[in-house]
Amino acid sequence: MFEFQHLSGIPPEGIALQTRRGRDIRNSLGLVLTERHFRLFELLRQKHGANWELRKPPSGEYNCAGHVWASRRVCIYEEADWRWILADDGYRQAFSPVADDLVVYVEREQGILHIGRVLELRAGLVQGAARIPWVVSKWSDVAGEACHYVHDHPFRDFGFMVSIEYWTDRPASEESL
Amino acid sequence: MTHPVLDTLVSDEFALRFAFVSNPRAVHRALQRSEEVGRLRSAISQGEVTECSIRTFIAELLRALEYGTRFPNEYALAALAVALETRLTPFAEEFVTDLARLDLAETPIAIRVARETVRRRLRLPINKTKQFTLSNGDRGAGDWREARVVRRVAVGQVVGDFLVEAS
Repeated sequence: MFEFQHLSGIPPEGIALQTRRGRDIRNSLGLVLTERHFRLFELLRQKHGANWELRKPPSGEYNCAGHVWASRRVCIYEEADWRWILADDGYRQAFSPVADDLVVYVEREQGILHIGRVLELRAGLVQGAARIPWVVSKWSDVAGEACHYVHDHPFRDFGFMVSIEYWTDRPASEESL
Repeated sequence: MTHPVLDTLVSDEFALRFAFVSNPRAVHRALQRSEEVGRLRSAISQGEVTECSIRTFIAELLRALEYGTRFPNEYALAALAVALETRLTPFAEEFVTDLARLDLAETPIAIRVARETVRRRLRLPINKTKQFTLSNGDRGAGDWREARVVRRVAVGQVVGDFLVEAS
């Protein structure tokens, strides 16, 4: 059914990318986006992003995992590979995130949905309230990059029951610092 | 003219709910529980949407596929794969397996959703069939027998976590 497309498209190309333990991470270079992708991202911002700060307009080169783990060079699509990176690169779950820790949006059934990077902890809305992580992330391989509060995500509206985890490469003894 | 249930798959409102999820397995799940895919599934099973009209719809979708550019209609393609997941017809088999074995940078999510669909099709339960020998006026008392669906695989097809290769 897709014989013509098979012949006429571009086979995905990746770069050499491995975990710290030498495990290959599947990845592919993204392509340029169409007008429709830009329009969809604008709709997303209108609907969900009233409090987001846009860092970069939509681009197709990388997704959220490529942003965090491949320096914005490629897309890493397989959730299994995301798990390998967390395991092989010495990440552990953290309970008090600091700048440069990772925020991982997890759905009970589907696993990891999204990954971002904590930029800073911002004051809560009420005096004395816990400080709230301010995150930079790229919602998908067709999205732009946005800075947003950690809970300010669109996944609930997409029908996902998301829990938020923080992961860090800091030693456990540093947790209270 | 396209059936309205197919038209909804190319709307921005539909794509918006799936375009910003990075994990293809989660996209599959979200499509699976979407109203639109549910409506499409029942329209197909009731014969309102025929496999012929789906074929025409796919051909229309693919006209927007440009070399070196991200395919703008891939969520519609992915939705079709999910809607056809439990349909055991040669057309459904051809569509999901052909999409799953594509190796194109233009449509990475739809291809991965189709691979998830192929994996799930292989886990579909064993069919139970009832065999009858009926004569005129006979209501028939058949006996239930289990029959395992045996699939032929083609070179290049993804079966579970394996790609079938020629020996």
